[in-house]
Amino acid sequence: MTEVHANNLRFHVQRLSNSDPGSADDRPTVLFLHGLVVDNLSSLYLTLATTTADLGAHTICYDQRGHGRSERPATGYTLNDSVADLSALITALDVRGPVHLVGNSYGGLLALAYAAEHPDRAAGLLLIEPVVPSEGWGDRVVETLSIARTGAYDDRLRHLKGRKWDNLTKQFLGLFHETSLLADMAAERPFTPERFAAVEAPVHALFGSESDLLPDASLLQKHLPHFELTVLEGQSHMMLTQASGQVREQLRTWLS
Amino acid sequence: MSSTELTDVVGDYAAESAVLTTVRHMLVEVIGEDYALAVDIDMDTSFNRDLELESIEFVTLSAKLREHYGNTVNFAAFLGDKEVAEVAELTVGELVTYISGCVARD
Repeated sequence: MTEVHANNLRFHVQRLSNSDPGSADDRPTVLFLHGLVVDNLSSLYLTLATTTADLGAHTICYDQRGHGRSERPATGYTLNDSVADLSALITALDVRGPVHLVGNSYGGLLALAYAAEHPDRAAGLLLIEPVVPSEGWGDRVVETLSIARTGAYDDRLRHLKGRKWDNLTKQFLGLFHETSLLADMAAERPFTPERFAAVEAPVHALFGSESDLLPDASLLQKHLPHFELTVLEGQSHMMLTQASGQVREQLRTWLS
Repeated sequence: MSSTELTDVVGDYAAESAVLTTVRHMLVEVIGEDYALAVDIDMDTSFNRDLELESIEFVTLSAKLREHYGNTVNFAAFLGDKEVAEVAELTVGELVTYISGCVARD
């Protein structure tokens, strides 16, 4: 396990490249951003990260604060905190050129927020079923997490039992009861048109035709300067794990 | 079977057995001794059913293997186009055979 200290926290980071991203070469750096509470770096590591590494990219996955093997502080779970963590990690890892960001669900929103704040550091964004920062997005995240807690939202969770379920529940309950995550989410505000417009990098978003989030894609379409939308037929919010092959194909095209 | 072929077979078996020992040792580190001691880890052991390996533990294992074998073993190629469910269904033996093959070709 690789530990990296950034923004006064200990992060679990996995890199799938054999040379230093800071070294002088023209290979792209791809950074993966996972979803909230029921997720950690492993979902992206096991589905997509090996693909970008294979394509020659410096590939970085990390567990966001409170998730996976990273430290779980009691506070600091706003979107701005997530951006500060990401920014500090990019510095700590000595990544110099602009980065390609791949975000799943909340990780997609994190990618957008990072690109809006650091337009010169973002080369391109691939968003997989991103949470769209429309009116009331934080409350909807809280609501979704409450449903997810019962295991009803994700087929994978229903099959879990024993040690796996115990560990997932530990993360869940820890984040719910021992951190400010839910309160921080509930206090979030929608993006202003100016914040959307600050995203200079091209954004490619994948939504499932059956996803509850699909209607929000129009907001991205309306406000993002460079936006491309792909709708995967028959897919839901869980497309990363339920249709990994299709998402991988999109990733290959996007990176090349 | 010629003596050369026999040597090859014995060599393969020894190599595989060495890899199994390495993988077994890493798995004990990943899931902890208390739990690992309850399972007899051999070639037929399933990561999911028998070891109840979590995704993040699979990541830890794969990082340990990268550290140990370096570029000799290409995990990207091994995980390749597998779906998450397929990764979960893998057995220790499938991983060991794959690693042994990479090491033999090196």
